[in-house]
Amino acid sequence: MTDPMPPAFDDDILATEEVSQARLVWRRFRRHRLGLLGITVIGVIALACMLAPWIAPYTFDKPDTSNIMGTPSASHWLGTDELGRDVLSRLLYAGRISLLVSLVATMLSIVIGVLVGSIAAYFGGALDTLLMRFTDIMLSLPSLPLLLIFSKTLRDFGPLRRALGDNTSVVIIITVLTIFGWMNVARLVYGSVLSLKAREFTEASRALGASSFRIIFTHLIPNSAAPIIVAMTLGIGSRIIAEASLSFLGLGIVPPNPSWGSMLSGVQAYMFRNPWLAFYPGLTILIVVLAINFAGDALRDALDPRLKN
Amino acid sequence: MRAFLLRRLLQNAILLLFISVIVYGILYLVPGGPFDQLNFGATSATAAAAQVKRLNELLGLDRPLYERYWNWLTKALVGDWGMSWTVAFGQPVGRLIESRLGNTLLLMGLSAVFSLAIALPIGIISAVRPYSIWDYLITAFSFFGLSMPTFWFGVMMLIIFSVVLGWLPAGGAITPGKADDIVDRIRHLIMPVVVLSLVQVAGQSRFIRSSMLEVLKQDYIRTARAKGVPWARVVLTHGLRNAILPVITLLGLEIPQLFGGAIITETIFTWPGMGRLFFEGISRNDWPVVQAITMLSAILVVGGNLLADLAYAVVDPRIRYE
Repeated sequence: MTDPMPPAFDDDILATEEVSQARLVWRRFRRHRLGLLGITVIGVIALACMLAPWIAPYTFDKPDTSNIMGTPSASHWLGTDELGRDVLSRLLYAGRISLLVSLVATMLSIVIGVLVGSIAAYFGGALDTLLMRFTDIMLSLPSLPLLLIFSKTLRDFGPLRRALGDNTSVVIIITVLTIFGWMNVARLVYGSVLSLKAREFTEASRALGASSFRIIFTHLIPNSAAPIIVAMTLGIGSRIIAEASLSFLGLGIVPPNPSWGSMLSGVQAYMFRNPWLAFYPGLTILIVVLAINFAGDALRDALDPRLKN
Repeated sequence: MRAFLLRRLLQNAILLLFISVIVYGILYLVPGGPFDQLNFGATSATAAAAQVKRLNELLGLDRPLYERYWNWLTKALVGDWGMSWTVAFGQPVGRLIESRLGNTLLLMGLSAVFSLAIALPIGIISAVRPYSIWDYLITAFSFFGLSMPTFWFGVMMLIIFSVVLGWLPAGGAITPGKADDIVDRIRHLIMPVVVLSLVQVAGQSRFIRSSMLEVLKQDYIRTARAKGVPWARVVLTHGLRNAILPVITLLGLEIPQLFGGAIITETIFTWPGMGRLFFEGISRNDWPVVQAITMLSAILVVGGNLLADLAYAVVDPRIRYE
């Protein structure tokens, strides 16, 4: 026998490449061109805003009195506003506030929503009724009027202002966006945990003596991660718009901090002289939110293809 | 059905009571009071403080909170919403709202009709021809609509159609002296209605698309096709009648969003409605106006949800409320 016995079958067929979950998600995400474009755009804009103090051509509050409401030029790429401040620099600084506010408010909403939803679903009974009825009530409130009322009264609250100084408006808007922003996540997690807690692995875990706390935090919540992450991504976009709307109405971010929305507040008075002043901040919001929505859509398909509608 | 209705009405009454307590509490509990920052032309701080004190006594603001709330509630229940403080000093809030309510309902109603009239056909086209060029265009449009800051869209419309082109009036509901001119009224309505509809259209068309896609997969659609019913009729009668059901609930749930949008839209286009009145009230510390409009919007929201549930039972005979 010169020839060795040929193998019964080729081992290579069985050898599958080991792929981690993260890799798998990334592979699916990559197929979405718009999603890729989205995270690239968000990345570039977020980085530029973070680096604003180093890369912005001017500071956000430095007036150039000889050049008020200047049209775009070599020294001021996007022109200057009604006080002669550089619009591009203000956009970069404003992005820091807008992105920070929406990111923190989203995170806090997620934490509250996850806690409420998972606790209500896991323990059930009276706690479930209490928490989820409260969620329903919060969902059925006219939110914009209440957001405006909260922002206004908190702002006029002296001690808060003295304690927080210039950052008062930032803290207030994060607070009100959180108070009215956690309900959807709570419902999402509620539904997910309700179905997960009836599954065998929860049963097994309980049989092994795991505490409720452990089951909720190491099994139920991590298994609900996909919809939570998607809600978080899309939530950042909707909060950027919410912050901008409040600031536009003069009840969100107030000077000295600029935000994309506050750059537009009072713009109706200037739009006849320089319509471009109204154009750039809104365009920035549109681009960023659009990018976030594209990324969120791609992320949903990548994390859990079943969620696609 | 009657038991269901009674239970819902009772639940809603409790909910509205809860909302009124919250709003009243927020407005009046925060220390400082609405007049703290005013000084009424007084020459010294003590004189100003005396003025504030007198005004607070005049308006009953020196009484305990629960007593004031009870006073407010018992009056509000019989339709007396109190007097305006700053927006229209001394005028009854009820009359102030009456003069604005019609304009707001007109704006909201037209926007609801207009947005559905656009969202319905494009949602159906998207679902009937999924992944076609039309579907992609409509999807792109709805992504833009959902990502658009409404107020900025309004300001851009204003700049383009009013400032640059001069085609449409920049604000208000009528041109003075042309109260009966229907064309003039429509010209004033165009921009506010379009702005208020944009976000709705984007959301609704996506929703109708997925609802319709779901229905078109059903067996009875295939059966209808197999019987030789023309495709257009299958889609429009068999398909649409089932796909429209969840849309009715959606419309009920969108009322808060619509009212929120009205606040912003009315402020941009100086539309003399309740939304702008609310914003003026907020900006000028006119708590009776703010409280009354918040309650009205809550009633609108709660009533809208109830109506949506009832309408659902009417169009879908399978639904029975016990």
